[in-house]
Amino acid sequence: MKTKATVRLQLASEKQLATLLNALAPETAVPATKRSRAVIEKEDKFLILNVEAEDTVALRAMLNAYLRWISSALNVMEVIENTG
Amino acid sequence: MKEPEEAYCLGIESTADDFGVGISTFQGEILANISDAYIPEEGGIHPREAARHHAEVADKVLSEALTKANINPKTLRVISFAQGPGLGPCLRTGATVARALASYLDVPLVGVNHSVAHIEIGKLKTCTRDPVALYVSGGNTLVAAFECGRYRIFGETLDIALGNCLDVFAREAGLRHRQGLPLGAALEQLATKGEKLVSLPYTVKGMDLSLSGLLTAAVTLLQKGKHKVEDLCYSLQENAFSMVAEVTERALAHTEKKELLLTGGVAANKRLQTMLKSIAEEHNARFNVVPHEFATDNGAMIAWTGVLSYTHGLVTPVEESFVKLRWRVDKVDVPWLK
Repeated sequence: MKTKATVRLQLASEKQLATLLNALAPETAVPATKRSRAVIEKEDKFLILNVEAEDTVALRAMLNAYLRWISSALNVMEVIENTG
Repeated sequence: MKEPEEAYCLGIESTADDFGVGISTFQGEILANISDAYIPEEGGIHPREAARHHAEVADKVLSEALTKANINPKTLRVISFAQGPGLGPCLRTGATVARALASYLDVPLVGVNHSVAHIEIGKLKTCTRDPVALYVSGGNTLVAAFECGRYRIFGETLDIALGNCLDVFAREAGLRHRQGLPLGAALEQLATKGEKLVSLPYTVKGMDLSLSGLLTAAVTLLQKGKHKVEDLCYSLQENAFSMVAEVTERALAHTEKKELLLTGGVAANKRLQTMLKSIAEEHNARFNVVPHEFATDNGAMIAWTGVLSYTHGLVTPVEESFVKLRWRVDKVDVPWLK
């Protein structure tokens, strides 16, 4: 059964949004599996993550991977802002 | 704070179980080398769990590295990352962090080959110029030397890596990670108490070697319980190390290079060091071992190789910075060597 999920993330700044789009773009271009695919887009201050998968297991795995990457990317940006 | 006009490269390592951040000056001074290892409760590395670990510790390791280096991150000139070879989920996590840093700081990104980085940090730290390099770790076992623009592989494992062979046997023997001591080190300690050399397979095929049959035979004998575990550890090491030493010696004889470099996580093993030192002496070659801090996977080696790449015109556009799971060392141009 095909499944879909959409995540809308509001970000604090244009810079954060642009950084996330850059950081994730190569992963969406070359997905690690054929069972699922992700598309990321910009909508005002929102990052839109659309995931489609062959089944819910693959959907959850890809969502988890992208949310972890987004989280760690935001965390390292915070470190840069708070250091120096 | 260091002078802002100095140039620094920050390197990110995440090919397997370690997440590391290193910072190097363009002159090769390592200002920071911080790592955090994923240690599974049992069994080997689970790629997804290791990637989860890397994502969770990335900010902490970065923060520690910047503090240790005592630099303002906005003075970083370039970000490098281990682009491959390695475990897909782990590589992707490190690559995403690296792209985020490069984009946020608006500096160039450089994808680095992990195996080349192990050789280059060994050369940097031992002042070696043109060695035959034996790179032995949990994921790689190869003998390489520079020739015509690239490191050429003179011999390699046909199946599992040396470190993997030792780790799997150690786990089968019930050894565990203790106080930061790797499994291989625990096995090495037991091997020093071995007295009897047990017959095990010895498989060198031309310039390549095979370790999986040796591992299976050693584990089978362990399970039968007819030999002391110390004797099996000793015999496993003797056989496996003799095989890599034989291939390394042939590479030294063929290339007639006058330096032998031992690098990678298994380089810390004293018995392996002794065997290779003896070979180097027979061929009038200087023997060097990468320092322990830089033997296992680390961010410093990625930072330093990032410096070498960037200063010789190699930059990886962010949109082309896909990870390369099976990126062989002999597919990488090294324009900093002549």
